[in-house]
Amino acid sequence: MRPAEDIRKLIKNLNDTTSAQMDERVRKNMLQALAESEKTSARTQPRIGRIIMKNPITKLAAVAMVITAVVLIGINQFGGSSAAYAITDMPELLGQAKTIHVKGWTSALKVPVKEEEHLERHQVEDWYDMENGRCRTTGFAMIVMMPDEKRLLVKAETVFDGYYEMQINHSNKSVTFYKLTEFMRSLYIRRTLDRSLEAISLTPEEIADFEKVGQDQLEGMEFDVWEKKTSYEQGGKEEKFVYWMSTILGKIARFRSWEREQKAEGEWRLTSERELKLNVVPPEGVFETVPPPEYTLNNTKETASVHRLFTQPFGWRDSVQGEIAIVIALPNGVAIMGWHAEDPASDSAQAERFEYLEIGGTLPKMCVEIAFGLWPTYNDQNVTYVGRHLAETQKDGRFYEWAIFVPNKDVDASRVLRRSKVRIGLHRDNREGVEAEETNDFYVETVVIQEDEFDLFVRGAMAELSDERVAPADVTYDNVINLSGEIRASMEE
Amino acid sequence: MLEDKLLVLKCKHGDKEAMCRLYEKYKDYLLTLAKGLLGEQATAEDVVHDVFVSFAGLAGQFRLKGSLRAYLATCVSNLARDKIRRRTRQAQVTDSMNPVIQRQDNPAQNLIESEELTRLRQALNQIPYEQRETVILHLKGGMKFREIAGLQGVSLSTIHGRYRYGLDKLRSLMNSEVEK
Repeated sequence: MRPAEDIRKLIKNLNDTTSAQMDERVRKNMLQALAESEKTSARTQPRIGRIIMKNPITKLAAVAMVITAVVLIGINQFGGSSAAYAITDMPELLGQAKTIHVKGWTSALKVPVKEEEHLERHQVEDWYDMENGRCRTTGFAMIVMMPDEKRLLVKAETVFDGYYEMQINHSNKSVTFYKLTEFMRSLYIRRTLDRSLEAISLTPEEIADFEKVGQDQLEGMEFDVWEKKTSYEQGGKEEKFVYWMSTILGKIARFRSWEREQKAEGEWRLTSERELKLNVVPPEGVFETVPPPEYTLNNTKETASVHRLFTQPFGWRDSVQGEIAIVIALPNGVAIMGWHAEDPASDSAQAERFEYLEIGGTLPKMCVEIAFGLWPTYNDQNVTYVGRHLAETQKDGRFYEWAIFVPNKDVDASRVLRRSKVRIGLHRDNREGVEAEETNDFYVETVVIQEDEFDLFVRGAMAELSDERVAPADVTYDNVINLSGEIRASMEE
Repeated sequence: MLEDKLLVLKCKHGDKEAMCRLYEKYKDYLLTLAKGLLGEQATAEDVVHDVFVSFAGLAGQFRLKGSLRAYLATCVSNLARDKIRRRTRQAQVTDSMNPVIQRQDNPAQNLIESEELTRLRQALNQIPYEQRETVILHLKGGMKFREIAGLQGVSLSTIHGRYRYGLDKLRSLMNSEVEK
């Protein structure tokens, strides 16, 4: 008897290709239809307009129609209830914009801050070229120097011109360049929408938590007001995020956030404000990686080092070093994580630890173990992940482990998995049954991809972290899906 | 996804290159779906042709909500269902032989394909259309059961049932072919 899995594989193997005659026929008719569509939507209207305006009777009727239309638009915009868009549509609508301009200020810095630092407003301005993935963004970092807790605020700007990234440190007036490999460029461009959403603190995993709390007018236009409150156990803080969104135009015009002490339930303190404009023509040169005059150059484009992946480094006592290089998730929540860890003091034979690994078998025993891999931090925290070995690559003497993490049920990765927690345990004595000496939790950003992006991003990342710049042949979308099915079945058993 | 959005945006502004890029990207995927659903090369080609021509004709007003791939797959599925209905009506009118197994139009294609795949195509044509659509759209089209339920206008449990029955039927048809 042929098992059902065979039938499934056979269907997946169905692959028809179009003939040259068909291609010719479709292209011809399709481009003709496209040209006609453009003609009818763009060219016919002015012609009709000219005919109407030449005739004195129709001219009067046209004026009357314009007045009626203005009144109708007014009713629709200022008092109508025809809600066309909800806040959950925003990621997609922002993704369709040509450019996004975000301008405002922030005072909330993500470390414990003193009262007076809260009151200080720091200007923020971001530009995103959604068509070409270029961007110019502002960032702040508060460095607390121990032991005297002296604080240093660093203001930085990052410009990506599609090929090079220029990091400008405005505090010490210096510039550093990074060059991007072809893979990194694709990844960078792919994350443009994510970055623009992060700039206004609007992430898909949280979007469903917002509720419409009222309406407000901005510059004479009606906007729905959407709100979400979040409380943090650590620090006893409560935050409130509010968006002004036009349901008719489908755009957010303003974002504000507040903060207060949760226990005291005191007054809300405004911590940041952003105004948003879509499809505005950016100022000339805004995406150019030209250093500001009189800034010190730490390097040049010619001497720039290669931009690393979006890594999460970790280390213990100056000896154990490692990093989570990348986490990529498929839409159903199956995730692939590339990472490495070395202990120069005791870890001289890494090759042995990778020698007997099997696809779908246990993860390698290294100086550091993934004690609890992928722990979704939003929405569905009851999902359980199991990690197994998928592949390994070697680059510059390092062994990279590519682990596959499979959830016990399908999850919507874009909502659940974009930010996950990984618990890493220091494991100098890595014999079976020996507990990790200590553990640390790290938050990792996940790149959620579609099936047709598997080769570009999963295999691309593996090739990027390999001396031969080639991904292991076995790592294909179908193999990963089959393997994840087997791993899940073993979890159920 | 982002690439699709950009291509759709360009198509909206009449960009021929973007339109051709979309065609190149999805033509084989859609033809495979159409042929899986209809079983005939020529009709499947017509469906894919009609999907792209009507997409191009409406490009100016098109708004992409969700994935373009799923949208195009849905278009193929809708057109294929129309063709099946028309074919059934035609068959009733002409009182034809009502062949259970549709033959492949292109003998050369048959030679190229493995014998197993040919048998699969024949088996696919023997299972009820709703089951075939569910199996093909899920396994080859990558559509979720929920999306297929929306497309067919039935509940999720019905779709699960159609998928299971479809696969079982295909399995038994192919096993009986082997036993012969």
